[in-house]
Amino acid sequence: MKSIIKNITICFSLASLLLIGACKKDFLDVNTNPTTPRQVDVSFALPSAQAYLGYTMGNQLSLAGGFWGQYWTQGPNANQYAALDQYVYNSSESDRPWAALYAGTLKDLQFIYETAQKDSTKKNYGAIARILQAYTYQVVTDAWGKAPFTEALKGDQDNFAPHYDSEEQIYDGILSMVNEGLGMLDDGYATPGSDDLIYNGDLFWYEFGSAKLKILMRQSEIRPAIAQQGISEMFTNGEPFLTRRGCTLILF
Amino acid sequence: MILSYGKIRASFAQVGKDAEPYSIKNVFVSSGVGDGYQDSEIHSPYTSADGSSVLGFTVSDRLRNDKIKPEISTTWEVGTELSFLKDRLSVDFTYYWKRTRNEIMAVPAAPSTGFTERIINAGILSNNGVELSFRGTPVSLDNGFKWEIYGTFTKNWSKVIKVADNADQIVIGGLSSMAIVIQKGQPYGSFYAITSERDDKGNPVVDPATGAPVMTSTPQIVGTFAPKWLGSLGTALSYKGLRVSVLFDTRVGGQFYSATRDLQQFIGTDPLTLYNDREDFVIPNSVYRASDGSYQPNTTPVHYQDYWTNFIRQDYANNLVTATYVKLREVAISYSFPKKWLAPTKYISNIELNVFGNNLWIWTPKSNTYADPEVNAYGAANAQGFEFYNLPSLRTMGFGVKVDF
Repeated sequence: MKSIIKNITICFSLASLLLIGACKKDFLDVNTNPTTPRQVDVSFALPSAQAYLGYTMGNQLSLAGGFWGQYWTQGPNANQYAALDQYVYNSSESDRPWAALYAGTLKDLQFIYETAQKDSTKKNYGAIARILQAYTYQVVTDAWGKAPFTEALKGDQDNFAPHYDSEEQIYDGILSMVNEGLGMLDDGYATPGSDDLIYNGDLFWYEFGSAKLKILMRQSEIRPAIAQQGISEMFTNGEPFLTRRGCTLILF
Repeated sequence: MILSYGKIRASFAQVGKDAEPYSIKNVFVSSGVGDGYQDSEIHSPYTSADGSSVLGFTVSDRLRNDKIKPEISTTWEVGTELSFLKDRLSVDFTYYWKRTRNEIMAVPAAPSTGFTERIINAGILSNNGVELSFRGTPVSLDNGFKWEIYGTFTKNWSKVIKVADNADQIVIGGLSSMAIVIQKGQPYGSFYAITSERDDKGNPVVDPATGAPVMTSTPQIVGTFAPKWLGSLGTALSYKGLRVSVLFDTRVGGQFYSATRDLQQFIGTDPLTLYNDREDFVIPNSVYRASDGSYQPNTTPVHYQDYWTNFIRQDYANNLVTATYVKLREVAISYSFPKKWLAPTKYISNIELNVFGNNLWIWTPKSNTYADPEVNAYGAANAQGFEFYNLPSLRTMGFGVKVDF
């Protein structure tokens, strides 16, 4: 009996040696994950950035505004928003939207913009990304005041302690971002289709410069000179958003 | 001679540890965003304005690092094994000292850098302790009857010597309300949360207008899961082929976070909520801060429903429960057939039948009416002591047949 078992064991070990040769060549490569890509096309990053932006705007920031503007109040049978209702706004409330906007939206938009810089066929993606970045930074600074802007999003360049810029610096920065984005829009190149969750690639709306007008109007009380100047420029340039694509300007 | 066997041993070892797979190169991941509540997350694929479904990938929030070095663990230990009275009593004692450097960990990063975590070498962790075990045979008769007693005792001291150059704390688990952290100077795995503010005598501070407890403005270290000591004690009786053994296990000290306690107090099924017959009450020993800075005894009652459903739940440390327990870890009965019955069959050298039961009984202090301290929402992970509505632990019973050829 003992020798039968010994023989069976020997046979099994030899068989398993044969199986080792059948493994995939890079089976032992622990650095390349087969389920997460190292590069993606910008058409995958755009919906992701917009989803994070839309979600944060519609959820946490909307709730904060809604509670403080007294449109909503905490229902008595639950208490997940009791802290907001009591005007307690601490890091457990703001951590998620902050992270979603910076590490989610802004980082992906930066990726799209940088890709467009290197690949001119993606110009429109870059333009949309720039305009949305301006919009997002405006949301960030309106909600939280001073925020990283010039030194933001540089984690992969070893900057782990970005300097906080003042609100004025951010507003100046996003105005030039929007202008840059509007300048990059070009009908001659490919536009996003359904991967643009907001406008399905209809460049008209991006050109409508809604971000730009909002940026200028937001400053109308506190820096009226800049607002006035910017808006007059928009009028005198016959700014495309007013007359482009069959839109008629009615003055009254 | 009393000492029948003695041995002293010492060892020194240094071991390196590698990073987890996929820690080197940055990747894109399928995206999704949520607010921490179940069912309100959205994930790729997203629905576009025209109704079609699109995939979304985002730059992974974890910044990988291709310059990491291996983790090095240095251990030395000394120990002794002693046997007395012709091996009727044996004792084993070990003292160990272990230091781990350059732990590879994902530390939090400011999200404004575009990432929420980055992988670095950081951390110096020290663990030292003693392990003691004994085995004795008080009764050993010539007819083969034996009675043995055995037990162990372990005590470990763990301390985080350093976390990183620019961080004194890393979160390894938990929630934003009750985090499990590694903090410089604390044992590995401490609880960090906002808690009820107290005066220097330990009395809770309240708001004199509402009687409600006031919370600290910043979180603090409020406890740890690490036990004071662990031990076990067992006994076995054997006679000819029959052996019966019983083993008890205990853990003393440490705390765990019980989300069950939090929920029970919120919905009112915790007997503690019956305090004062569910009438408004003055929090025992509560004080308030008077305008001159001194603490005065409080007389304002707090509304009982607001207290249990809202106010006390903001004190996250309230849900830490002692993790002490005693468990009946194993009862086993086994019977081996006598060799002479098996001799006719030339191949079979032993047949043994056994019946066993594991985790049959548990005792916890009165204050723990919630859960078995051993359940952990994270399983066998670095973050321990987090009970999050887990299913109760199981009793198992079984039987087996073992045949040797």
